[in-house]
Amino acid sequence: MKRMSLLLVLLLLIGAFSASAQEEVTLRLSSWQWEDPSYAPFWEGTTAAFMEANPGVTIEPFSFPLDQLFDRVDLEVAAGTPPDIIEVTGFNVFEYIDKGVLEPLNACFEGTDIVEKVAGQDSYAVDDMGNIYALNLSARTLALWVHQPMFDEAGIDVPTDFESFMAAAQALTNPDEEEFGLVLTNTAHSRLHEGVLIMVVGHGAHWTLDGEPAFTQPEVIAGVQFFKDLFDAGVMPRGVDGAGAQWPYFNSGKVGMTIDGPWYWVNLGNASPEVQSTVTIHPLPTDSARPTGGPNNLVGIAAGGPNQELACEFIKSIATTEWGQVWTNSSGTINPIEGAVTESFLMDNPWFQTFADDGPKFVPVAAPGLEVYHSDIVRIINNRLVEVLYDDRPVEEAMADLQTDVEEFLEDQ
Amino acid sequence: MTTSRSFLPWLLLAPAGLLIIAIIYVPLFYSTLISLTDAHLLRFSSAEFIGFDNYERLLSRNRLATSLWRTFTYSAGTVVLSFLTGLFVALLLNRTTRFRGLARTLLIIPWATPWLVVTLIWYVMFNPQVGPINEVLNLLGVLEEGHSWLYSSETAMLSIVIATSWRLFPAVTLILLAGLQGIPPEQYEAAEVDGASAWARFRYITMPGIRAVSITMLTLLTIWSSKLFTMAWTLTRGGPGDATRVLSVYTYQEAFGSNRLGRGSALAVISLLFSLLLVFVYLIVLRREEERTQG
Repeated sequence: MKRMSLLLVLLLLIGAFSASAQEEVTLRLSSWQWEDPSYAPFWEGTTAAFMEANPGVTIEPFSFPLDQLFDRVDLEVAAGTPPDIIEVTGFNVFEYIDKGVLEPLNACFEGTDIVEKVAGQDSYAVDDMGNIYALNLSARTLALWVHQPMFDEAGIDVPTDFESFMAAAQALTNPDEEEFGLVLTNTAHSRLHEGVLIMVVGHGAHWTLDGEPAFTQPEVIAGVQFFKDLFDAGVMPRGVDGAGAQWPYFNSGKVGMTIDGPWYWVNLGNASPEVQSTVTIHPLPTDSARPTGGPNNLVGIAAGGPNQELACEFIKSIATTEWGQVWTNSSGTINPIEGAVTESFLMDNPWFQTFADDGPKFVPVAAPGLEVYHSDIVRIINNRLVEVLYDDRPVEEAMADLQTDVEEFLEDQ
Repeated sequence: MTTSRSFLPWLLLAPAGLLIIAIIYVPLFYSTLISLTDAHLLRFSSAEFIGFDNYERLLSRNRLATSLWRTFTYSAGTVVLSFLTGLFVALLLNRTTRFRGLARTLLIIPWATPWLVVTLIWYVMFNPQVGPINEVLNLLGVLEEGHSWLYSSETAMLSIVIATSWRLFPAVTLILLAGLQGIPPEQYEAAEVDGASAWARFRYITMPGIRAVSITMLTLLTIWSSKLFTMAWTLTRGGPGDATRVLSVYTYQEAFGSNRLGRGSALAVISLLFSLLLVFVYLIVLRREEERTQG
């Protein structure tokens, strides 16, 4: 009898334990921003609030730096154990959609006003069938950063088009003093691709036309040629290899202009408060003045995951004006939900005004029609751009080869 | 009894054999298998068998031939430069006994430096704006303005060959120095008495004396440099254009840059065949050398 009672108690305990174990759910959320002070307030705040509202649910960070994160996520996807919630970039989201990594969110967003409230939600990361795959978290554009004292000393105005851009860059360059008019990335890096694309967009074109590669368009050739002319004029230092090399030049106070996004503000302030205090920010000095940009951070749900309903609830919980304001205030980048950029934020951060004004004018960075292959296309384009810059290949010839490269690449897919 | 005895060696070898199969041959076989599929990292579970399509596609494009040529150029350049530098330094050190110990210790430094650190050192050295190489060439009047060593198609390969050779030549020096010290000094003394010139002594005493170690070293350098990835990837990412896209970089770009595991695996198999060919040549040379020495 005693044994029977013990057995009964044991069974009850096991039953109680397994019941409580069933209620415990862990969601894995992959992001490269968990430890970034600019974004941590958003992620820590949203996850803490969600866990408080949903006892038994734990959100576990799947955290790696950006240059490692997607290798890890890709491996988890290949192994069939992807994180439940995946933050993606405005570029790799297309490949994730194409390969079926993300779950459509249409059902999740049903009965909410998310699509109406979030700018670009019904057009970006959406397939031909109208399936929405990710919530837009930030939109970004680039602008012209001007070190005002150099302009004042030279007595010149901030440029507003290609002609004045070249003139200002030349006027501010003084090799004897190691001063440059401009700093832009000019080695095979995604920033080179975008830097040249800005000039192409400035001439009113993109790498593609009606979704097809169009590198031999006169406007593309003119855009690439303009960048090459800047490079050859010696107005920018050579061998600038991404933000890590570009920023220190501008931070030094010996460079008149650079082109960058709002995220640079914090870095500039930390590295060189005196330069930050004299910086002014303006629309891009190209003939169209249209910036490259678009959604930069998005978040979606892994297809086929076991916790999709909870993941959906989490995504809905962060798509609010309040959390949008937290994102914008802490990161200095625009969360595209209505009301995320407040008047008080703009009053406190007047430098941000250009980004807020230019945001809606953006031209997407990924070539329309080739978004799925964005990283490959950038690599192929950069290969030819570097030949133009450093080997002095004529632009027309290099662009004709680039057209062939991309067509061959697409045939291979 | 005889049967159990004949089984014993196999039984003793079995654990090591199984381990080798598990860690070397199973992954090789698996990689070969993947190369026959259209596997993509993001939809790996739905990979389909496509026979030799990946190989056909690779062989039908110039990129593979170009990459093999780049691998050959990189490997040949590295072997020649690191061997000649290593030999030169070894000959210098062999002439003096005073600072040999110190020099040997200092020589170890590049050899002991991790590849990644070597790339950082040379990244700065070659920088067109602030790199010491341009500074020196400017001072000497060879260059008027900074040359973009790593970004120009004309000099990118040369740059990574120099950087790789800097890392490898100390090994050549140390091994050749050991070989040089094995040559009896009486041979040089006799040659001097006979009035042999410095070149004749080098040609007829030194070179034959270090022939065996030189052949081993040259072959090992060829195998090492043909497989190297770090320099070409970290310094130039295979660029500009495809100027430094050696086979290992091409494989990495396909498999992990573009996530095309099937095609990346096909390239890995081709790399393996390339390495096997080199090993085969190495074994033949070694065998001939042994026969020559014994004969």
